[in-house]
Amino acid sequence: MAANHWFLACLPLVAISVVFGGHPVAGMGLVALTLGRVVSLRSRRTFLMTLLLAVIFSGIFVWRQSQVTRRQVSAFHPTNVTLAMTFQPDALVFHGASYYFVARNQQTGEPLTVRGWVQSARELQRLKQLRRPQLWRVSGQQVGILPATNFNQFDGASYWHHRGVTKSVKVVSVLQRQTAPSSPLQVVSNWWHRQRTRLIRYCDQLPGALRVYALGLLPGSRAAEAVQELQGMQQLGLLHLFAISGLHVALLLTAVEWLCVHLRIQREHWEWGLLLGLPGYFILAGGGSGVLRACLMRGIQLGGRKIRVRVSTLDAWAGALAIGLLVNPGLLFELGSQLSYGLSLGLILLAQESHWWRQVGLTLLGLPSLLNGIFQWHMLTILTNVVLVPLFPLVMLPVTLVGVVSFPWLPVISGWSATVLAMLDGGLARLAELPGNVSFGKPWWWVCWLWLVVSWWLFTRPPRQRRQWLVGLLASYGVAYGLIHLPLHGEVAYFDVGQGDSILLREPFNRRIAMIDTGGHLAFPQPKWVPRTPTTYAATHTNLNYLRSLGIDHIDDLYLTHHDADHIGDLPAFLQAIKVKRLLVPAGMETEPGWQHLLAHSRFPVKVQPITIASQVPLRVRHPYEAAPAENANSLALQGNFGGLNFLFMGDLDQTGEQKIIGDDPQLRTDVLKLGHHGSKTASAPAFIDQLRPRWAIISAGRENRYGHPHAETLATLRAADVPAVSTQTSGMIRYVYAGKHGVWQTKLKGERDS
Amino acid sequence: MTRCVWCTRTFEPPVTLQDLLRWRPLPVPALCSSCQERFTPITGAHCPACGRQQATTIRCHDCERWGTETLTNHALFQYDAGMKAYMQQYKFQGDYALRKALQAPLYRALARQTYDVLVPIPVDQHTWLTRGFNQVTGWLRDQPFQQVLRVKADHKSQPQSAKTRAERLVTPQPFMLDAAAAKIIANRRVLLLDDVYTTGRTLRHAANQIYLGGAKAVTSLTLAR
Repeated sequence: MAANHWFLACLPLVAISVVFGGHPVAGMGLVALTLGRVVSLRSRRTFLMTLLLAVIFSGIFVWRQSQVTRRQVSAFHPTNVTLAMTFQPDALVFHGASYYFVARNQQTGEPLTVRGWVQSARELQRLKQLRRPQLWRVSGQQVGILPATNFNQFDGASYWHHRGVTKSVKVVSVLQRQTAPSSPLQVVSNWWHRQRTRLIRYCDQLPGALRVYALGLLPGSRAAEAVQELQGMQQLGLLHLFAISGLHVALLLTAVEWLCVHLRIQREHWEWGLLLGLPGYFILAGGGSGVLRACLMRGIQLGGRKIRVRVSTLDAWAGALAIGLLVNPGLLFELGSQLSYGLSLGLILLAQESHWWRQVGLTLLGLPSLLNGIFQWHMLTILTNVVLVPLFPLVMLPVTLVGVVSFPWLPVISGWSATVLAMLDGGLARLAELPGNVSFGKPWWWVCWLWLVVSWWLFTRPPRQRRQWLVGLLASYGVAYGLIHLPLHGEVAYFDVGQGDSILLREPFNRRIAMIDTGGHLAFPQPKWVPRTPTTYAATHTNLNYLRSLGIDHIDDLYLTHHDADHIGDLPAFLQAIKVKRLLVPAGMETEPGWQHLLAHSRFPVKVQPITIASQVPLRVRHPYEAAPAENANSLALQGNFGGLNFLFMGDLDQTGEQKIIGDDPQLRTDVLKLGHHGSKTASAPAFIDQLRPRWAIISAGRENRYGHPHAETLATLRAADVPAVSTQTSGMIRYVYAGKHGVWQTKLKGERDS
Repeated sequence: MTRCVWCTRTFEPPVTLQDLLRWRPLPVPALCSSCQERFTPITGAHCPACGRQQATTIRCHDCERWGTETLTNHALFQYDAGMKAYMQQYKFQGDYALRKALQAPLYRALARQTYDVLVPIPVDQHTWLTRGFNQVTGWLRDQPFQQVLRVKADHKSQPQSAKTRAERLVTPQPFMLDAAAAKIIANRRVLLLDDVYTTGRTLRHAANQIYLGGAKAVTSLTLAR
């Protein structure tokens, strides 16, 4: 086939993956368009090859999809299982006392995600010393992988479905551990996995920032501290350019080539070595989608040279994409692969452009993916791409390599490398603190596609004509920003934060943004031998993520109903990420020392305002009556009108408090009642429900929570009063989206009725 | 895999977004980039009469010397070492495959010209028998042309390129019009096509014949100047 025909022949495959990715209409349109382009090449051979590929890929996609559907089980009802599974030792990832890995069911060959807990320091030590492929017999609980339970949340289920994984297993006990028998075919890959395990354990001992960089760049595994250490890089968009997109792989391979050339090794020899070593390096580098792309592209071109077929860069890219699609049919819908494949295509096709236009191009091509995936963008990204990107191959990569290599002999040098990297990190973090971070919000998916198409189109124009397109494109970004930030509708949203409460009250045009509680988790004291892990907040993935997806960067009023961790535990995540204008707490809580540490790392000064029923705040305060310790009994109860409905939020208030409220106001009614204390029997007295006569009851509780919330007594009370209940346990996030006096209820999951 | 027609090495053809996003076959360049660089295109200021590359846009010395016998010529490339090497291999060694090297630029240049009839300069009988092709029509892909000129039978076959300037200038009219020529060129704008413009003698002889056939206007295009 003629040069670059493979590239065009691969585009219909991408379109087919869109069809199977849940966009049948848009996908079929793309199939027609891309096939049309192949026809217009007027090459019978290319056309037949394209059809053949399209048929083969469709077959494979259908087969994979049916396999995933067949394997699917309920995500809500765990079953007890005993099974044997095999995995490579480098798959084991430790986090504190828990471990996690992807294994294969030995009987069926089905991939599973597995999570378990070690019981002692000795066991942890033993697991870290594993070097051979493992065969474990475990008993545990098997459950389907839970899809995203909040709107705009990262969808773990589809991520894993793309990889053929549908079930996760929680290990209760490991019955037997042994080395897995391996066939002669696996000897080579086992060897590479063993090397990767050794590399990970080796990098794990490195000091400070060096450890994070070494783990990320060499074996491609994320240190638990990566989130904190690389914050600056992440915010400035550098991390996406490198770690995700696999550019560092190309750099490392180029370094190896340079070394071979300068050591005067014959090209014939090292080219074969490189070609045969690539699959091994792929395993060693962690096998991510960016690594796969980089290795495949290099391998295809090198292999072509060995059999005297010149493969154009574009064709090599297309080959890597086709194989990538076989490995992961959902490639197009994941941020990492979008950036990896998109930016490398940009680098190929914009190679002839001036430096300035190339930077503009890469920024424009990455922007829709970034906004769709992480909802924000730092304006300094453009600057850092120009100034800091050269820093990476010149400073960060060499410093990391030197630090890693010198550690056994001259740990001092490793220490220096760690310092240099930490300084760089610090500088970048300070840079990221500068104004310029745009909380854009999540644009509609079709707008992202449109931006991408126009961005590519822009570069088919000669540079002089591009200005008007560029201005138009930027204007469309401005319009989208405006529409996201000044929405016509408001909402009352009950987040699914597991066992806990968190509610968003957002008025149309974002006139006033209030939240009730943040959600959070009870932290249990850990034994001394458990390695310390940095604090992470679930809010980052659930409610805070949702606020970001709406482009919200501030909260006017944050009500904290009382001091329990499941209501205010994730407060630091909010105070660090966005501006909270004031905290409203039940009178008496403001002076309690127990929760003050949560305010310690706030980015902006926090104003704490105690409130009682007499307080004039936007919501009507129904409880407490006077200052008291902020326990459940003294929880805030708040009432408000939104979109033609009356809402009552009970916090964790118990029956005594309810009695007090209806005693005070016998006429009290409401439409939507957020049940007190997650549906516990300590709240929601029959008399209270009968008096309020709500049309809906909302229960905010965790799946399989240890308290058995909501209690059967409460559900019985609701049934008796004929009040339908919706629970975050089965419905995920629940929101009432309204404009004017009308609105609609939406739930993230289909939900099974509790009552 | 694409092979360069000149150096016969394989090369990666450059691809642009425009080529990919158009509903047309991808262009297959005949030359690799280093062979392409052996040609020097005439850009910017050039002589308005003969198309020679120069610093100003006034008629060059050679054109001035022609006096009133004017002819407007356009040229694509400078007649430098690269072009000479190309012509040597193509014309004199008869490497017919090399015609493809300049088909694309000629195609684009012809598209920019305004004319009704394209008339390539013919080769004489002897050249036909030895070379086997007309080097000028070899550069055409599917553009229609009319072979209305013929070389007179009594014309002495000594190639122009083997003569000095003075000898060239005194060359007698070598061309005659085809019998059917008048019908084709009467009242039409004719574009003459030749390989190299050196003194302009050949083209002026041809132009004179075409005018005699009743053409409204005659201009010329050459690959090199």
